[in-house]
Amino acid sequence: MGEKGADDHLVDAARAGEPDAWRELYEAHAGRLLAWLRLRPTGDSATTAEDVAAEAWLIAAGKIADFHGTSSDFAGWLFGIARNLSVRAKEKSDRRQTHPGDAMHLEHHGDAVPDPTLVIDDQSWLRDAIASLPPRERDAVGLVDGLGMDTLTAAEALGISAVALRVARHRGLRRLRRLSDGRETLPAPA
Amino acid sequence: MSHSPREFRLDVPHVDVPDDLVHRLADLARSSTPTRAARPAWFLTVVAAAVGAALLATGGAWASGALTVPGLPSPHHAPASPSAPVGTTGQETGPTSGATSGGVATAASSSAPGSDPSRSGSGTGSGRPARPTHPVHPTHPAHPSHPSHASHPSHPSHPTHPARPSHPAHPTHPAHPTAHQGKGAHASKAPHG
Repeated sequence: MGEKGADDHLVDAARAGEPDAWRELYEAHAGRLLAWLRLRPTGDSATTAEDVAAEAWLIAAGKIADFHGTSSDFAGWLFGIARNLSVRAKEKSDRRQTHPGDAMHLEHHGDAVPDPTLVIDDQSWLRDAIASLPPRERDAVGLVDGLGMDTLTAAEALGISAVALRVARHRGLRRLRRLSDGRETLPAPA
Repeated sequence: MSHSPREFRLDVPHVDVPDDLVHRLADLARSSTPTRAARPAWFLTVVAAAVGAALLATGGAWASGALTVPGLPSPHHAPASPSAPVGTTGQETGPTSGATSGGVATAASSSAPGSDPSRSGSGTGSGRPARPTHPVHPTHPAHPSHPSHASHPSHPSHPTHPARPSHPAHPTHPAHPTAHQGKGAHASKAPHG
């Protein structure tokens, strides 16, 4: 996975099954993982980013004996697991070819529960713009520029080389600038 | 074009750490066992390749008649069984093949029921089981190579291969020396004439 570094004690403690180590890892990576997964459409309204993130954490805990590396390497490994799960969920949704119904038809069945992910905030445009990029560019820009992950960890998470990641990120950033300058418009949501 | 990558920074949501999830992760980590060290991928690949090669070799040996599997019929027996009992054909092939050549006779004696009488030269199929007898005839090392070509009875090329044993028409080669000897004989006769 990666070279043993100063953070190894945290991974070793997590491998030994210490709850405090897992708490620290969760605090360090859960937020970024959730923000990144929200950029990746699963295609299924019943499978949310929170579901994929929770499953990724459980799989990572079950396979922690196979992991060797630092806490930073753990992030790349965890994001790679989440990426595989997200891709699998998207493929499953594409195979089903089911389309969620219009939420307006559910108005008469009760009050809608407020969903914080649906709140339009200042970053709604940025999330939509990143989500509209081609998959590899979206992942590269989302990890490196959106979440501040270093290049090597992001490349490991995406299962590509660092050079391929830089190329994808460069293209994604160029397209994002075109969108922000108004030279291109966001595609209409499907 | 004045946008810097920092402007694309996403807000990271604050996620509360649920205690039950943390304890569940810790339990899973405790029960986690390394899988790659126990059975590396290359080891499984090598084992699968070895088993596949062994199966292929065994199947090829069985198909060519070099190996007889007790539960399976020999591929050379199969065409003869629907028309006539195997025992009768085997009894017939023995003498006929024995009449053709001595090498084939040894092959037919070992696996007489398998040979088809029409192809005496292609007694290769029956010649394979007779390999233990080959050390008895050390002077015919070339014959076992011909049966290997004749292992496919359906191919029309087999009639050509039996012709090779007839190549022992090597008597033709001695003809050339006889020609020289003839010249010598003429030369020797000339003085007499």
